[in-house]
Amino acid sequence: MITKRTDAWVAVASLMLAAAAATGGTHAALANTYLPNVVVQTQDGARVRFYEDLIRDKVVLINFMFTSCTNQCPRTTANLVKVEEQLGDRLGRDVRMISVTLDPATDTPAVLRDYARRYGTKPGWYFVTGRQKDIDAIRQRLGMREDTNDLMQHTGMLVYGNDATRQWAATPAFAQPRAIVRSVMLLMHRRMEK
Amino acid sequence: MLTRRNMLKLGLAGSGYVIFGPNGVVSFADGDSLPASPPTTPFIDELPLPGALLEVEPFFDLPEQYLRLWIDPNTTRFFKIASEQRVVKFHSQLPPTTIWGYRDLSPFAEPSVGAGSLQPLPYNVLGPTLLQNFGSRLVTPCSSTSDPIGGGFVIRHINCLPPDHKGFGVPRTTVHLHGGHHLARADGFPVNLDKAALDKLPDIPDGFPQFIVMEPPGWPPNEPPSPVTNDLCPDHSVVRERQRLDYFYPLLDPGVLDVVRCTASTPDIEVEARPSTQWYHDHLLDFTGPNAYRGLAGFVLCFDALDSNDENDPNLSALHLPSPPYDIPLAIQDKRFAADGSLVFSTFDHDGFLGDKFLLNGAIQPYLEVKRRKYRFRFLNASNARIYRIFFNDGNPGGQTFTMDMIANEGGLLSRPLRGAVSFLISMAERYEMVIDFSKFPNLAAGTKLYLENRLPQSNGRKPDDGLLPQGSGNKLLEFRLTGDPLVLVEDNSEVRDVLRPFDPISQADIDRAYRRSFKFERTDGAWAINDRFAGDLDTPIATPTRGQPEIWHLENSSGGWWHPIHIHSEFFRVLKRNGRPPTDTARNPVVAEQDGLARKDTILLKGGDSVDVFLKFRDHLGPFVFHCHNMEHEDMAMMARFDVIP
Repeated sequence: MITKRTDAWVAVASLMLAAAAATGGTHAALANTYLPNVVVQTQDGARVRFYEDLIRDKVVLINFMFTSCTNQCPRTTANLVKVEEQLGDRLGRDVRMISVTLDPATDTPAVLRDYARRYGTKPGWYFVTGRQKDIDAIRQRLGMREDTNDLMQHTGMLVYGNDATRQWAATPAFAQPRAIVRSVMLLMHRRMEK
Repeated sequence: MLTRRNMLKLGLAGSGYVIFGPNGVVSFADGDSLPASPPTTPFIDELPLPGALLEVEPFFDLPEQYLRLWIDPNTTRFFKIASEQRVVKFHSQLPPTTIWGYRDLSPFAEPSVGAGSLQPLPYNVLGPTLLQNFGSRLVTPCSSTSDPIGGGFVIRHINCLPPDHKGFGVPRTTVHLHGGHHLARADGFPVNLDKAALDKLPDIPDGFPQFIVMEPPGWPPNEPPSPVTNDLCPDHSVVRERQRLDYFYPLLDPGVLDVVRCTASTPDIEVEARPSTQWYHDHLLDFTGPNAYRGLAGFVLCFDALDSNDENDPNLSALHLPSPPYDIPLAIQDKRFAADGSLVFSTFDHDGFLGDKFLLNGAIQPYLEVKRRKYRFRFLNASNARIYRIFFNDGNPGGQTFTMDMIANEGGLLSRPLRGAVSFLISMAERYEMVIDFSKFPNLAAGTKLYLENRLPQSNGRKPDDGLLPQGSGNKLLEFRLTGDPLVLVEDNSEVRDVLRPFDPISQADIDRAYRRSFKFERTDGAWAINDRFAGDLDTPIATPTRGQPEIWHLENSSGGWWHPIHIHSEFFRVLKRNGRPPTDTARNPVVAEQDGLARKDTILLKGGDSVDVFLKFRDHLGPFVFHCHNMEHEDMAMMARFDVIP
């Protein structure tokens, strides 16, 4: 269904891209393709497209976690809760937080919903699950390319960026919340300017 | 050279890359490696040489601390540099490329010279070269603190980058003069500190600005515009306060300030320690990689009475090393291009970005006609993540390799030359200077071609691959073309003496009283950590060395086999131990120049599992500095920590 169509579209788009890149391409032709547009499920059970529905035209912070992770992830999530607090009412409006589970088999939407409730996260922070291969595609695309059974290896990094300006960077997910917000805000200026 | 097929073979396929094409348009090669850059014929463009930075009229709208403590208009020199977006040629067969670069704002600035077919475009890739002279400064002991010390450089950097830029890189800038010994406020700190962090700074007489990052025109957009200044960008637009920062470089030997101000009872001057090959580049937090890759880099060459930039110097105690036009800086970079000539970069490659085109001074695989005499080549690895091992050879498989004499590294001239080097390893931000004598080839006819070849394979940003490529199968960086009849003698008054700039190793007394610190670089959950703590918190110092106190830092790479060149700002260091033993210089292939008494360094490569003990003494300048990995993608992933020098 949707998923299949998306895959086909991405495949076609890749071909177009090679051509578009070669000719200088247009923004519109390429806009959908640089991050996976796979269908994922949020903690509310909603089916959304990862790029178009969650990221397009937004400033986003993306990290990877899994609910059964007991050492680092809870600290990291707690740290990101502080980031959420400091973002204030910008969260949801201009900025989104996306936590992608690395263990989609365990972390169903219901499990993620419970996890989010436990941390009292607000709207604008999406916990995302999906098919394993789609999750892997998202992870690899964002630069965590190692396929490893040690899921922890992907939980330390926070990728942040502004889709509208295509500016992306990475920082430890456990960095000082104040520093994370400061960095994100600098990219956000560009968004609000539009 | 890395072809696309090789890249596939090396296992880079299927990982998904993001490509930023022309004007920041984003494209993506799904399930495949990055496409190869368009083909370019090697060695058809001449090696470009960046022009010298020229003085401008003095200006006095400067920070109050500069005027009170430092600036004397009779002895201080003034310069202005803009960061701008411009169009250059990287190769005559490649369409023009939009880059970010430094531009000399002197009305008399010359375009780059020797650019051959690159000439039609007005500017080149590298920024203007700063030429500094040390050693002629007289400083009066215990001078009154009410008199400015004078001398040195003021460089006003102005950010004229496009504020509406889209794509990799962020048009905010901060400039680090790499290898310099100067004030914290002029060191290119990566980020503006917020008020809480500023309030906690040590008491710095030179002050530390609230806004250290230069904003592009009209930024920050949600704040009232800062006041208009008298400066203009190259496009004649008005410059506002937040777009510019004045960097003051005193050009004084470390420890001299203690004499001038009588601030230390036992002044420790390292006389004439500074002349070296340095460079300046963008240092913006999280974005140094893309910003420098876009072109924000330039050379700084330093001289003094000994290394006097004149092989015909009548002063007989001068070293008479090969001097211009036989003294040639060579910035090595690797980049990747789209078919339309635009730069390609992968924002999500956190391991370290590698290009497939090799550039010297901003030209892809150029050539240089050489006379049959000695040349001094100043190598700088200005790449984001590639490490090179460079050979001088005839380029033929199974052919001949020739030797070079190493005379200097980041810390300037070695105590003595290391002659007969077969190859040298150069990691990001390191500098090595080699003398090559082309008079050694009487059997080679005019027109014979010789090469600088990188034979170190590297297929990802973590570290080079194992082994060496066979001669002729590596990356040929530069083609030398021998000119002139082999039997006709070419004038060459240069020499490489057996003693260059000798200095004593650190005394046992200093080692005994050194304060010891240990920094363990680790990779934890895919992010960088230093001493078990996630790295990158620049609001708080990880160490607060006391000014003048000897320190020994144990730097340990426990990051699972990755390689990291670690750069410590503000002072050169002495390498006491590598992996528990004093380093040696006996190897010739590759030649090693790092042991104390022979060399000083400011960047040191830690291979997987390596550790080094380095001796440091932070003299003169108080305040926040940083140390970090100079793989720029690692640096941008917060493999960096702040230290504050305190009184």
